[in-house]
Order: sequence, then C-alpha cells, then structure tokens
Amino acid sequence: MKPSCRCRGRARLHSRPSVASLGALVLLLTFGLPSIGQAQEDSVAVVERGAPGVEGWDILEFPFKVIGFPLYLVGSGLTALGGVADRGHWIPWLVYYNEQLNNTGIYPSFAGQGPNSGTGGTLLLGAPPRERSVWANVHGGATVKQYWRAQARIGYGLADVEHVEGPAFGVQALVLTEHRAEDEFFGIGRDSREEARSDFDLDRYQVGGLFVFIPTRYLAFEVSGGWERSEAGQGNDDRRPDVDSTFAPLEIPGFDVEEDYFSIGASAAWRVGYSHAVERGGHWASVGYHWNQSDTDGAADFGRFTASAGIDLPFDHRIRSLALAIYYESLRPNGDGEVAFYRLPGLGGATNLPSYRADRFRDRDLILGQAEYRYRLWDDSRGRSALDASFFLYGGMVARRLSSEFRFDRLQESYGFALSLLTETSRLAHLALALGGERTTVRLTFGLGL
Amino acid sequence: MTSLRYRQPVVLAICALGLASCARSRLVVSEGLVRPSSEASTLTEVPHKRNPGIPPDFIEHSVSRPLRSVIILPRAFRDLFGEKVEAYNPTAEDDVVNSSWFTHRNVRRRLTPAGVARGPGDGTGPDTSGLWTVIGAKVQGVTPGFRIRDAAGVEYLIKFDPAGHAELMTAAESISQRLFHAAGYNTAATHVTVFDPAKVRAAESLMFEDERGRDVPMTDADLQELLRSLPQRQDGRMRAVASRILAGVDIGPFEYEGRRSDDPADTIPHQHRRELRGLYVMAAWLNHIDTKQHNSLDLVVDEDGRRFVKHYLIDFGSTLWSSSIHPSGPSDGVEYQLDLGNIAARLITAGAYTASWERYDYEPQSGSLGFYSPDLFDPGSWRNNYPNSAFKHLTTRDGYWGAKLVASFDEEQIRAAVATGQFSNPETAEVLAQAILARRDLTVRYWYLRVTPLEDLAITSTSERPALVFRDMAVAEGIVAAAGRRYEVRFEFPEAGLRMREVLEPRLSPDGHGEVALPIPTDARGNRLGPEFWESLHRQPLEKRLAKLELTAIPGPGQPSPRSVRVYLLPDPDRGYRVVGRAY
Repeated sequence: MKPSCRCRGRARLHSRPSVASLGALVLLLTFGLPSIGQAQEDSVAVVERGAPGVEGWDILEFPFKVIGFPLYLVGSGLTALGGVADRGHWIPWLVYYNEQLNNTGIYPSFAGQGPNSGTGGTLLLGAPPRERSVWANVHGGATVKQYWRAQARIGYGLADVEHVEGPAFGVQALVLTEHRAEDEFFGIGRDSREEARSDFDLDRYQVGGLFVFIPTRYLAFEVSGGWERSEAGQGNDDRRPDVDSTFAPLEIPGFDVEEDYFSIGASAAWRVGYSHAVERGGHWASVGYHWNQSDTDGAADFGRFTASAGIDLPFDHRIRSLALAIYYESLRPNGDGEVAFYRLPGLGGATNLPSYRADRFRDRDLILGQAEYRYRLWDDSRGRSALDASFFLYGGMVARRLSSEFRFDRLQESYGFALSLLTETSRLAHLALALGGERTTVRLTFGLGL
Repeated sequence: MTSLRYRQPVVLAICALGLASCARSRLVVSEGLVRPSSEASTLTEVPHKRNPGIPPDFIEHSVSRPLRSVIILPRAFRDLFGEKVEAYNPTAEDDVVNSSWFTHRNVRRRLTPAGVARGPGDGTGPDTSGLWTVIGAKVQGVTPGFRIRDAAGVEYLIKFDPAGHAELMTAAESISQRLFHAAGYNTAATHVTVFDPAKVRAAESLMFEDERGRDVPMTDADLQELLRSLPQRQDGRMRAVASRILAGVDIGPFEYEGRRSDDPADTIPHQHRRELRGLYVMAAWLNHIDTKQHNSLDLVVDEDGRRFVKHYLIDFGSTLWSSSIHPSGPSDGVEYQLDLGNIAARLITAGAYTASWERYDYEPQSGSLGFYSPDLFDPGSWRNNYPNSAFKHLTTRDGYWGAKLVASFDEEQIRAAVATGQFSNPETAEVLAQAILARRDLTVRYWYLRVTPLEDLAITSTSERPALVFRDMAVAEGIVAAAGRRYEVRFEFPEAGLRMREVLEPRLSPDGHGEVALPIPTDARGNRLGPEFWESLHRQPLEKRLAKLELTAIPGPGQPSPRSVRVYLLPDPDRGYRVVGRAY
C-alpha cells in the first residue's frame, strides 16, 4: 500500500526555477550531459487542482459570520449538548429509569396546554388500562398554575378501542378530586367582554363508573353514571377589584355555591384511525346524552347532548390531507333553577379556538367547525413519527338557542398556521400561530393533556 | 454623485461574487518526478484515538451547520451557483495515486469474478467446525454484535440480521464490502457464515458495555439467552456476517473533513481528497446511506517496512436494500434523514414541493427485501443519511472519477459479488443483481454525459500532422452513438501563434476510439518550423511552452452540456506533442 501523496517542492504555480531545475542545471553545467534536460521533461506534469488559501468567499463571508455569531453559538451549543448527552448516555439512562419506574407501576409524564391548566406533570401509579385484564391505578397531576387533580380507578379492559377486536367489554370505577385555582370567567353568552373577567376557584369530587361494550372493532357503546359535588369560590380578582361588579347576578350563576349532582348517560362512538397521527385518514363520529339531576336548592336538573364527527381526507399520495370536524353540544335545563356557569359548554382555548382564551365563551348551546389543510414536512421513514404543518380555520359560536340564533356572520373565528409533531397514535406537540380573535397568540401544547 | 457612491460598492460586491464563483482550480505545472510525500515517512508516534459520538455528529451536520449557514448569505449563493473548489490531489491523468486511502484495483486491471468474490482476505470466513469464543459483545441497539475468536484463533466481528428480515443486512454487508474493495477502498474481509449457537462460549470474565456505558459481566447462560433472542434458521443454526478483525492499532474513525493533526502523512484536508469525494458515486450506486465517519476506521499498520495510518471503510450493513436494522424505504437515498432544506421548501410552498419518493407508490416489503430500485435513483442528487463534508464538495470531475470506478464492474463481476450474499431464494439474488446493474448504468450515464469522457489519450504522429487519439467512454458504454458524435475543439499554442476552434466529427469506432488531428508550428508557406524555433521555445519557461487542447462533446437532444476535457500538451520537435496533463 502506498501512502498518500502530494507534489513536494517541485510543484509550483509559476515558472520560477525550482530546486529540482536548479539542481538539474548544476548537473548539466558540471557534467555537460545533454540528456538531463530531456529526462526532466519526460516527467513534466500539468495538473488542474484546487488549492488551499484565503479565497474571495472567505472575505465575503466574514461580515456575515460576525452577524451570525449568535446563531453559530446556538448551533455549536446544540452539538456540544448532543455530545455531552451522548457521552453521559443520558437518553439510555432516562429510558432505563423510566422502565424501572414502569416496572414498579409508576408512569410519569410531562404535559402542558393553555393558560388555564398551564404546564405540569402527571404521575400514574399502578397499571394502565389493559385489554382483557383487570387493572387499577391512581393518577395525579398538577400544574404551575395551582391546578391539580387526583383520581383512583379500577377496571377491566378499556384499552385503546382502535386496537380491540370485538366483541369485548370494559368496566371502570372512578374516584376523582379536582382543584382549579384562578380559573377565568368572562360572562355568559356571545356578547361578553374579555376585559370583564373574574377569577374563581373550583373544587370537584366525583365518584362514578362506566361500562363499555365493543361489538366489533372501531365501534363502542358506553353507559356511565355517578355522583358529583362541586364548590365554586367567590369570584374575585385582586388585580381588578371592581371587575366582579360588572357581572349582573344572573350572569354569574354558580359563584360561591356548593351543589351535588347525580348523572347517568350513554354514548356511541365509531372511530377508525386517529384524528392526529402519522398515518392519515382517520374518521370518527360519536353521539351521547347524559342526564344530570340535583337535589341542591336552586340547582336545575339538565340534560347534555353531545355529537361530533370528523374526517381526515388524505390526497396526493397521502402527503397532504384536508381535515374536517364538527362538534355540537347542547345543555337543556329542566324546570326552574340555575345551571352553574362552569357546567355550560365553553368555547375558546388551545384545542378549539386558539386565538381566544380558554372557555372564553359560555352558553347553553355550542357549535364548532374546524377545517385544516395539513401537509407533511418530515417523517422518519418508518412511520413512527412525523412533522406536519397545517393552515387552519376554525369557527364556532355559543348561544342560548342555536336553532334560532345561529348565523354564519356571528361565528367567532380563529385561523392561522400550526406545526404538529405526530406519533403513530397521537399528537405529541402542537405549536400554533392563531389570529382572528381578540388576540394573536402563539400556543404550544405538548404531551398528554391533563 | 451620491447614488454613484453607493452604487460602486454594490457593483464591486457583485463583481467579487462573480469572480468568486468562477472555476476554483489552479494550474500546477510540475517538473521532475511526482513522489508521494509520505512514501518515505514513517510514524514515530501513534496518533491519539478518536472517539466521536454519533448523536453530536448527526446534530452538527443536520442541524447546527444548516442553522449557521442560514445567515451566511454568500455561502448560500455559493452553494447554489458557485463552482466548488476542485480536489487537491488529482494527478496529471486526473486520477489519484495509490495511497493509504485507495488502491486502484478493478479500474486498472480487471479482476476475475472469483477475485471480486474473494475480497480482501483469503476467501474463507470463520472456522465453524470448532468452538467460537466470544471475547467482546455489543448488546445495545436493535441488533447485538459479538467479537469472537474461532477455533483457528482468528478474530471476527459477528453481526446478525434484524428480526423478521433474514438475509437482509448480512447479504448487503457481504456484497457491498466486496464491491467497495474491488473498486479500490480498504475494507475488512467479510463473509456470510452459518454457525451452531451451541458451539459458542463466552470467554472467561467476558464483559460488555451496555447502552448506559457500564461494563457488565456476561456469562455463558447470558450469552445463550441473548442468542436465543436472535433469528434462527429452521435447522437451529444461525446466520450472521463475520468481518475479520483488522490488524493494526485502532485509532478511531477518520473525519470526512479536515486532517488528522497528529498524522504527518495526512496533508490534504479530507473533504478535498478525490478518493473521498468520489466515494459519493460508489455510495450512491450501492445506496450506502450510512457513510458517516463512524463507519470508517484508521489503523496504524506496519507494511512494507513502514509504519503509517491506513484508512478503512467499515460496516456496509446499510447498503443496497438494507438500512441495517430494517429494510430501506423509498426515502433512503433520496433525502437526508433530517433535511432542513427540503423541510423549508415544503413549509414555504405549503406542501406543493415534494421529493420524488413522496409520490412513489410503494408497499413496504417483508423478509429480505427492502427498497433498492432504479426508479427513484438520481445519481447526481442521491443522499446519504446525513450530510457528509466530502460529498458536499463533490465536483463533476470527482463524480466522473467515481463513475469510472462504477463502470469498471461488468455483469459477471456483479453477479459474483451478489452470490456471496448467499440468498436462500435465487429470485432474490436475481432481482438484486438486476437492480445493481440498472443503477450502475444510470450512474455511468449520468456522469459520463456531464464531462467529455475521453480516455486513453495519446499522440500519434504521421509525416503529415500529429493527432490525439482517444477513446470516448460514452460511446464505449453505449450511452451515445458513435455516428454523429461531434466535439467542439479548441487548440491554443500561444508561443507558436497557433489557435484553432472548430467543430469536428471524427470517425469513431463502435468502442469509442477516434482521433483528432492537431496543428503544428509552420512558417508562412506551411513548412514545419526548424530548430531555431524549438531552441527559442526551449528557452521559455515551462508553462509558456505548453499547448492546450480543449474538447467539448456536443450534447444530443435532451442531454446536459458537458464539461470539456482539457488536454495539456508539451510540444516536441520529433513527435509533435506529448500529453502531459488532462482534466475533465
């Protein structure tokens, strides 16, 4: 094997006498051998090749490099971080500890969405729902905005319906407690004002159970029932002491009230695929009705009807899709009494109208239509993860009676652009730039929501 | 006046950009023998061992560098329009000399099919008749690997196919390794082997580094349990690919950019080495998508009485239709794993921009079949998993050099290499051989149409005029027809006042041989100039004595405009001229 080569000394760009030719000249003069010159010419070589040195580009690029130095630092920092993580085996250690925790029945996760829940973590102790087996767990979560929730469940079955071949069934019993601190209330109806809002605290305690029957894959029927107690605090806002007086008493049903409800309901759902996933083409529809009865003075009994449908229509070799979804919810009180505002359907927030605050609009009826043009930016070629971009247009409204008040020009709209990091079954992170409401917002939601 | 004051810098900047984007090569005229500088040198000190991590390397090339380059606008302009710097180490034949990086094999002297199949070793794999002792193990990742010592005491690295894809990786590794070796690169001897797991024992105090970086002991029982988790044949034996452990001191991989500062023989930045730039063409042909630095190896070896660093390519598991741990898909070889440029293009065009693979209807294959097809193959825009610095500097000249390596393989040799994959289904072997041949033809066609591919250049001299004889490789390969092949010919011999520019249609033989007559210095009456002219010419500096012949093939309809071949001639009173250099 011969080593690498270069032309040493003899190679030159111009015809100045080289050491070799000077040497040849000395030999020629000394020995008078005419063959020397010919021998030298026999080894003449002409090569076009690149050469090192400062080039025009280096000079031109220099000022841009100075300007781009911060970006250079970011890039270098990323590389350095990658190196440190790699040398320290960070990812394998994280996976290892997570597996060890899972083996002991502890499933931690990290998530965040919207201003009302904030960013936080959840912890599941015990076994997650499993197909055709008994499981039990305690699930808790808390956010930096002092929202927390804890629930204990025991059940059988109830794994992801998508993958369950029917016939199958699942049951679950649940105990839940929840505390919402400084949630925001903007008033009832479409004409409320964003500035006129009040904070409130809410505590909920729930005991319930549900039964799910899956006659065949993709189709599920559910029957549920339970008892709930809720306690809403006195509305107040330290920063805006007068704000609560802007609500007329009728507009704030539910402040400073403790009430109990019993509920029973049923629903049916058809789902193929997922609404957000690497594989496009999911479609789904569901309908449900729940009756809620209260023996608390002043609290009205009510029924809640929900219906939703959606489809992700892929085209252009499944690179792109048009996703359409509609959601309808109607709450109907029976007789006299009030329904607390926090039980009314709410519109606004990261998942429905992102350019509005969460639950910005509340009323008895709600309708929401969503349309997205989605296109793929990247995938891992193995179908495990992908990055989608989308242009979205959402429109929705709340009303006391949609059947009489609905008009297209009354719709509240959100439109914008979003990036979604997808997994095989869900949306892991979503970054949306939303316009069209009362504010232009940039919203990041990630992880499994609380 | 004011507007002029501001206009001048702009004009200057545009001129500077224009100048900077001109040809990035220099003419080097050399007298005397060209010797490899390191031929006589020997290492006195073993260079330090490099141990770069894969994630930081991926982040650096896929994220950090693109981020940095976003703001350096001249670089973006340069990448789009500028001509790249040519390789630093071509010879006067526009080739490279044999070195610790590369040795001309098939391209200089055709290997027999058996020679291609034999590869770098003696043609035999590990001895499976006796016990294997596992002396090292890698259990992290999707497929484990072992370092074993066979009954004959020879050490090998053993790797396995991914579950559910028998023969996928092992065949790819065996076939590609042979073709890269036959082309001229240094590789380890690799063989598909079938062994009895009952004849495998763990060495005493066998330790392995687990994925969390800890040294963990492995017993015989652990080893057998691990083996049981791997794919087994119906007869209970196991198929693996065995790479013979290379002799020498392991000093880690070589980077595709920069030099090894502690190796005195490493004088040329690697991104400017013709062998590494031209590797792109070989890699594209065989879909060697995992051409990261970690799949290379530098060894300090003692050969020919000298100690030096020898540079190897290792791990060909992600070639052909294998991505090592799973079958390759249509995007492999078409797009980087994280291609920020394509992502940005899709983002900006709202998805209107798509890469070719995205509209390709493809059903994922099972078994030992992945995607390796000529359908989506574009030899000029092929992509490995993530950017490689040497590949990014590839010029058309480098590409042509690499294409000559690819063109050197004929069907018989390719089939001999494919046979070493030991496919259980002959149809699989046939499909793969056909795909390799088809991609070979596409590769050769692509690069041969982008230069004027004249080889075997020499001067013949008759009593009338000297002529340049050549072989047009595009004709020889059947890419263009001999009849009607035309060239724009430019000839310059300034010292003799000779200039010629005309379009010629020389008579070409079916295998591409042809000739072009050259003008010679004459007086006003057309008589050859006498000794006075040659004596005065000889007194001139060497580069002033040179004549330059530039031939540019005239492309057919729909063909790209090729680069010319520049032939440097040293005038000679007896023979007319002598070829002393060429560049494509």
